[in-house]
Amino acid sequence: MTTASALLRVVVRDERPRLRRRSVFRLVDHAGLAGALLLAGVVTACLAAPLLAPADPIRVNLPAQLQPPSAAHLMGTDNFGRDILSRVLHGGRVSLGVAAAATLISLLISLVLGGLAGYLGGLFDDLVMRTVDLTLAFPRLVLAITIAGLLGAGLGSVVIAIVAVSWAWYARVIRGMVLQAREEQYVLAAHAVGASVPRVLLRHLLPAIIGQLAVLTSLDFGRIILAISALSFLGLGIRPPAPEWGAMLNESRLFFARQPELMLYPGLAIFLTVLGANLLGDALSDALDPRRNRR
Amino acid sequence: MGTYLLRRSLGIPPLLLSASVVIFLLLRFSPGDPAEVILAQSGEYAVDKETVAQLRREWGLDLSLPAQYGRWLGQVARGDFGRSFSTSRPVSELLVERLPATLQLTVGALLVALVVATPLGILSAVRSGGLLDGFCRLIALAGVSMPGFWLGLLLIWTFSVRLGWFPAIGSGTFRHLVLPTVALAAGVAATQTRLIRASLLEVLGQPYVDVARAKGLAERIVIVRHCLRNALIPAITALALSVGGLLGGAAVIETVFAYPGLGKLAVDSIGSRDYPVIQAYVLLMTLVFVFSSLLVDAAYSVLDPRIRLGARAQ
Repeated sequence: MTTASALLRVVVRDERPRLRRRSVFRLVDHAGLAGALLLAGVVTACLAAPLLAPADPIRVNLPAQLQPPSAAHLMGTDNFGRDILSRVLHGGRVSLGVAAAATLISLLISLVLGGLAGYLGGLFDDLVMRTVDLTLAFPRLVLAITIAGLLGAGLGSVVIAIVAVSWAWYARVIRGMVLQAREEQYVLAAHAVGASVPRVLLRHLLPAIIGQLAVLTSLDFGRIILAISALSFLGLGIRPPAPEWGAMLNESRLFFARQPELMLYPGLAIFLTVLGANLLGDALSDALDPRRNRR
Repeated sequence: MGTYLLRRSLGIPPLLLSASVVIFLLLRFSPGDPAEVILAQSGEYAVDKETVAQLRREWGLDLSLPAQYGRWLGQVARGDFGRSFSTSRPVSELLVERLPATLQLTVGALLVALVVATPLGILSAVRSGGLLDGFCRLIALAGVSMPGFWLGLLLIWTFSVRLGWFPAIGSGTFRHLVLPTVALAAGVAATQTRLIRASLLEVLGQPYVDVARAKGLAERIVIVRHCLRNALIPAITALALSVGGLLGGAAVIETVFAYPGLGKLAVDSIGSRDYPVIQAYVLLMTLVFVFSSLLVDAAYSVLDPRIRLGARAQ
């Protein structure tokens, strides 16, 4: 910001949106914290499912079929008489676990490929980036559905499908970050004193991009959860009778006209998790780089 | 602009060709033999080796991989996508049959999303910090966090089961289109609203906007003439991604509403290992996606002269 335009701001009764936003919507200021708490709450509840769940999530109890919410079954029961609350809690362990695994593996692959491509350049860079371009040419969910469907129902298939469509995007962004950081004095210095490539990447470049990486991951985590739930909704995820949020929604389709709780709560669980991740991601990207556009 | 777009378009054929190789290999290396799967699905319990081998010969699956690929590519070049394994009907016929339904759904959703998102995003940014902005942001945040298929189920529950205003499943009339279109559009609309708001806010903070205001221009003119064009560029870029999201989302939404579109066809075909249909579907979707990106780039270069003049930083 130049002095002249700073002066101009004063002259034209500056109504800079960013400043106004902070003062008026107090609630929004705390959105990041709320998101973190929401996410932490969901994760804790799901991790503690064996302790919290009032009933066995898998055991069939046909006489108790399709009951509305009651003191015994806070969210009612499904078409097999299973307690929906227990299934939502246990199902979250699967949904979140798959999301975490897919995110970590994507990150790992893209850190290695994107990092090396950015740092080394040359033929390796070309090769990686062509592969990235090719992967990104497919519509993300179309490719994920195809891969998961072809591999056959199962959690492994979902993880592979999500990783296959996610790594390229991460790799491209990480390469960009590394390209930028590569020319920094401290990196050149490390290189000059003879540090090996892995050492430069891990000790000098990784710390430089880890903040941006956190933003990237938290912004994408919600999308990964959504993609996973879509795949399992199509019946490509976990096999019944094990509970999983997307799969529960799929199973609810025949019965929710009678018993809306069947689809209300698993969907709400997905929604709140993604909401938490998005709130946190927005806040992190604002905090780390206030001038950047939110994507 | 001509040369830039030309350069961009020249990259498309090799990209599609590589994509076709990827799809082809993906299918051939996935577990499950189409002949066995389809025989099993048709209710033949004792699948004998002879029948399987015969079907594989008939479908050309006994050839070497390069030979299979070459044959398929040759056919595709002539506009022939082969015959479906499970129904024996020409794939192109199946696609043509299903395409209009999916086009109605996706194009409708895209239009709805744009018509809703553009004014909301602009209003939200202009009235930034106000009650209206808070409301828009809340709705948009909810929209990006909600699984589209869950929204679809909620819509069916509310408007079909309880109120009986719209049919829950099927296609054919305008009333059939309403719920799936809304379910598909919500996510894109929310993403676009957030993007337009963010980028307009960014532009509003630029010095040249201060200059325009200092000249005494009406706020409306400042926004419309000076800000919107720049602010819409990131939103338009994201539109290409949104189209990709719509194509995949359509497959899920079509399943929710038992809507007979391409996506539903593909999901069913993947289950039965119907190679020719899956290959054609993924290739078609990729084609649409790649061309919508090209289209977006064209729009982009019209809006941003720096790109038109070829000074694009890679």
